[in-house]
Amino acid sequence: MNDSRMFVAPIAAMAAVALVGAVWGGLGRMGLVTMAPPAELAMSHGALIANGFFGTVISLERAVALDRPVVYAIPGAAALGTWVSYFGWPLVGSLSVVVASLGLVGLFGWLTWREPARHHVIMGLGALSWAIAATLLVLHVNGTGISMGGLAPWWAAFLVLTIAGERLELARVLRPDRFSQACFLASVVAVLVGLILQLAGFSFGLQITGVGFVGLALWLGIFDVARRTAKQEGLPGYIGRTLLGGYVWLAVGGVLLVVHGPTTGGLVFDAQWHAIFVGFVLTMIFAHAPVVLRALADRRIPYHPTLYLAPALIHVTLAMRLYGDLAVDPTWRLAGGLGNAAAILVFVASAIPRIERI
Amino acid sequence: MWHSLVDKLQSGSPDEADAADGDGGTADFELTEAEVPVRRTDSNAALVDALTDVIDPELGINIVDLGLVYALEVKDDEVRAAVTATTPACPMSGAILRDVEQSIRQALNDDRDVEVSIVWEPSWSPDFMSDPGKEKLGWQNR
Repeated sequence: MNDSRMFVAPIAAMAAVALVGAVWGGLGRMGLVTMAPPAELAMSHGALIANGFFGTVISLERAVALDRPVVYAIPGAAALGTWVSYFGWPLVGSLSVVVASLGLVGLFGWLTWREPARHHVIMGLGALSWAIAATLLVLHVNGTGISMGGLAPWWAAFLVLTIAGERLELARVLRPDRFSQACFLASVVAVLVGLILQLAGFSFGLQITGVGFVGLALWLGIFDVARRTAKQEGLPGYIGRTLLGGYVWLAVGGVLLVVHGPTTGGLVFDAQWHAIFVGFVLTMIFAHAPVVLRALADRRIPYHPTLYLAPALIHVTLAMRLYGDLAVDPTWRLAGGLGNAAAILVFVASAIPRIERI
Repeated sequence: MWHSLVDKLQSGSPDEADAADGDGGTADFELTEAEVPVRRTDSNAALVDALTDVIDPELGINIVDLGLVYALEVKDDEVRAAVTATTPACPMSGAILRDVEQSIRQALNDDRDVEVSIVWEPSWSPDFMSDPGKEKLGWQNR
């Protein structure tokens, strides 16, 4: 094992605990668990999932790709910063996440310099969105009036642009034509211009961002390799079909942003952002978990049809949750939210017993 | 500070990355676009066929048809291979290295040294895919 690989396990463990904490805190926010979780878990729900889990795992993947100790400082700073914040040093912790996000920006700057490619730029813009979210978190901690809800669009842009950039890279095997590339770039511009306008005080900006998310979802549904791999059997087929399901939720999230505009909390906010973070991003994680586990830990999850259970449960229960949010029906919302959390357990139960060492 | 960070990244760039598990070699292959990727010939058929067992888990296409095998040198006492990934940001490159090394060892079935490196020059291009690979991805329809 290379020396730098020793960083993978502790960072991945911190990310896994952040996921558990975020889910527990999320259930607490819905009023489903009122005992064990301290109030801080519910308050930190967004930071735990976006910085502690998604941001940490994404930058850990890059560290494994480049395989150098210095790069592991990025996910390390994101994971540690999240937990340092949680345990009572919010300023130090949030600054640590700023450092991590800027590290990721620098990493993609370096990759772009080595190989000037659109997908590197897109992923770099995703990292830049994370850096803006992290900076807003520092301002929030300093009591400057920035709400946690104001961070959600930037966290979403971080994850959506990162995933879209990865898919753009892979889509090269299909020789995307100029029209498809122009559609992709126009959607990315809409996402970012909307966010900048919104940050500058023009609230309609978020609706433009929503149009960008819908555009990217359509692009992914039409031009991504998933449409082709979904016709295959086994693991490629599972990944392809699961990805396509996730793209639908990105479109739903975008439409909800366009229709309802900016919200800073409440039921519509819950629907808008969980369509993206749970429906799109978490589904991506389910789809790619067998590949990511192979890359990070040299373990294999052999394909088995039970892998479909978790993404299927996400689709059903997220639809219930969004119905509950939009129809103001707390029973559906709570059942859906509980089902979202259960889907993670179902995935763990369907995948972990089958894990094989390479 | 920026320069020192860039230097550090450069010195640890994937160009010079050791093969996974630390038992591979450094990439001293200097390859041009005209030389890559490796295609199946009578002399390398056994090894290239063995490498078709290494499948990209998402695309379901093997690394030979994807054009990711850049060099294959067979000598009396050792076999050296160079592979790439579609992007340096891909975390699967280490796993590909390990799979390539394992496939070569199984195909050789002797005690020759096997050294597998990852290289990033020239950058991978979709044009490197083989005709069967392109066909599987629907290129003939375009």
